[in-house]
Amino acid sequence: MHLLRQLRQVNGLRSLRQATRQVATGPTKPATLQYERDPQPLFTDAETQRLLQSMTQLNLDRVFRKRTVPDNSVETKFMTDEQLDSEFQQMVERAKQRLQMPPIVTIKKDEERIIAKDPALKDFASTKYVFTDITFGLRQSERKVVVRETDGTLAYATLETTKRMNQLYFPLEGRQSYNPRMFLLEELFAKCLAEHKYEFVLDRLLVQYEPHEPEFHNISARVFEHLNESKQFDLLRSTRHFGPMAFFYAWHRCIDDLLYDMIRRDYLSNAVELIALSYKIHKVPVEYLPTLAQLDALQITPAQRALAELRSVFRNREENQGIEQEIHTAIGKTEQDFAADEVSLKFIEQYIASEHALKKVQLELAVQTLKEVNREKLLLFQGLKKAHGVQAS
Amino acid sequence: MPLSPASGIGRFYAKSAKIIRFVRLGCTNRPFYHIVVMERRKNQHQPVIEQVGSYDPLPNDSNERLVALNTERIRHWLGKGAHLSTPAAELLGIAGLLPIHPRTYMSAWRNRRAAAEAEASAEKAESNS
Amino acid sequence: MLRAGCQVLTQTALPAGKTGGNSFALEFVRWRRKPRWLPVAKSKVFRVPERKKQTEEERTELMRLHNQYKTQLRSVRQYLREEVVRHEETSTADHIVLTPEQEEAEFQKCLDLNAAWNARIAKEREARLAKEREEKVAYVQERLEAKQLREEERREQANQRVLREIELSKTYITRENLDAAIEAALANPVDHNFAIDLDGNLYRGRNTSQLTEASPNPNPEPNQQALSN
Repeated sequence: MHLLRQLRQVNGLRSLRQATRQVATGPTKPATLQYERDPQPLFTDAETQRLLQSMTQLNLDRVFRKRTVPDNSVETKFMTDEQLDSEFQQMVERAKQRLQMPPIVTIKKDEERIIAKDPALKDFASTKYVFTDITFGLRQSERKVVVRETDGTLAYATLETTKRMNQLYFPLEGRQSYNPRMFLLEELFAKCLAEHKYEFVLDRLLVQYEPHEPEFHNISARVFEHLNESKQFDLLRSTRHFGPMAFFYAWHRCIDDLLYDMIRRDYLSNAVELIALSYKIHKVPVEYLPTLAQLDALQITPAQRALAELRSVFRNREENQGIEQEIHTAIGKTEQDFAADEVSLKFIEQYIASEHALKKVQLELAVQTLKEVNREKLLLFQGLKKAHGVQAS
Repeated sequence: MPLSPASGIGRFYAKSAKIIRFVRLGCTNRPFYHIVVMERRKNQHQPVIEQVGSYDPLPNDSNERLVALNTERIRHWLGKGAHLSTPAAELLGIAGLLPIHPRTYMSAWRNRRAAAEAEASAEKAESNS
Repeated sequence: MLRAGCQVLTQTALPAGKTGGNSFALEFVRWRRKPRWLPVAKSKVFRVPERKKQTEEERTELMRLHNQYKTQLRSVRQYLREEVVRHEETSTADHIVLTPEQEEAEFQKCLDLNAAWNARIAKEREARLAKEREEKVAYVQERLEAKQLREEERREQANQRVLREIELSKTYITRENLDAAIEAALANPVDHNFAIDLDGNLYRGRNTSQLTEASPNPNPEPNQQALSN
């Protein structure tokens, strides 16, 4: 009997050692940038959400691309025009749903909540007991998990244990009960990053960890830092991770690379939104609302744009849009776009001139190039218009 | 016998004595218990009225014994006057759902006494050598 | 379970002396436990299992704990029983619970519905009754007309009968013209007798004078015809 108990103790010690090792290796090394205060109120703010959604854009081809899932099959149907139109609308709604951003919340701290202490129960058993409430129909967050320690203390379980028990009794699809090696081993994680598999890493992170866990913050911060160095922002555009990424950069005052990318790709209104977001977060006394309102008046939202693109199927058949449409397709911009560009360029230049911009030279160069290209396009646009005899409005 | 579903297929009389107790599942040298409600007079391997939890008496990797309890249903059945087997009562006492069973206190003090005696004898052996 | 060794099979082949005193090896193989009908082993017959000793102190302590536990459990049970009753009373799991206003509205709705239904049925009934009344009136009218017609016919017939009687009454023999009638009858005797021959000829009158009178025609056609008719 004694021997057995000793064996059991040795067992316990071993598992304890295992646990400590897990904590020590922890999921990868810590990121340098952390949210120092609660970002949640700012992130869930309606205006911020609108800015982030607009920056994410909505490219249906990207949202509904083939994924590495068991079933990627395509269904072919015959439809009338009305059915097709309603299907288009539903598709845009579905895309919006898929682009919902994971929330950014502060890290939840573990707090000890003792229910009862009973010293008379000391050594009643050799191990502790973990009790999980499996009452039907409770949410994961409101499920009670309590632990009776060997010294007779009854307390609520730690967050880690609670998560483990939830996963054990009510498994979430895709979530592992152990830490995936990808997040655990530094070399594997570095390999993922080096291969630019950002979306894969972030998706898996989202499945594996809750947004309030330190691992979530740590790994996502590391991914964003790496992304800022490799400058492959386009990989995350039209995915649900673009918003949190932009928010991360805006919060930590390193938006310049992303801004440069946006200007180079001619997403000027997005650049304006990014600058506005950073002003909003750091409470910089610059009036950005009028510019945003102007842009809103001139441009349509990404969802509307996607829907219009889908609906262009109908337009070709009608053949009554005429020459303006042709000019638009040839140059890729309308008159309103040119006006919007002008407004946003003014705002961006103002930002570059201010002390907030860190990579001034680069940004200025990009803006200059863009301006030249734009001027050429505008000339072409006007020339075409004149040639076709369309009245400039 | 195949496992009956947790919602239970056991037939019972309205006024018969029900009991909350363990059913030993698992295999040789690997006990695993379901905590079930069934008619008191029945054999443990007969169909149950309802399964209200599970208990794994062997410690897992992190050295803890796992118990799952459907507290809502347990409260309901206790309120309906279901009896409790002693091990089940002990477990529910440890879980903090019911008062702690005297047997738990008893095993606690016996364990403590055995540990103290073992220590004393070890000390004596050391001093002798 | 009984299992005879393989000696049983080979016994006949071997000489009897080689198997020894035992004719064949008998052994019990227990797969589970000793069957109930087997007696206690000889070595265990007088063994008395020793009970674990419980110290007085432990016993009293356990007694105290048990008493306490029972009291506590009873009160917990009481609480849970009340909870179950409360839950059963307030639960809406298997039925629908309405507020008084909702109930009133529901009742009003039922009333309205009932009234509408009644109105519809009443309309239908009105229509049906009106139709039936009309039909009845028409029927009665028809019967009345038919009756009138019948009456008229009857009166006509009666009239005719009266007229005929009046016509006939002119030839009636009354007290006044009785003598004249008698005289006329006596003056003109009528003979109704007749005879028939084999050819079917009819011969009226008792006297054959008529025959002679009619002799020139031996086969009086009309008489014969009349008879055959």
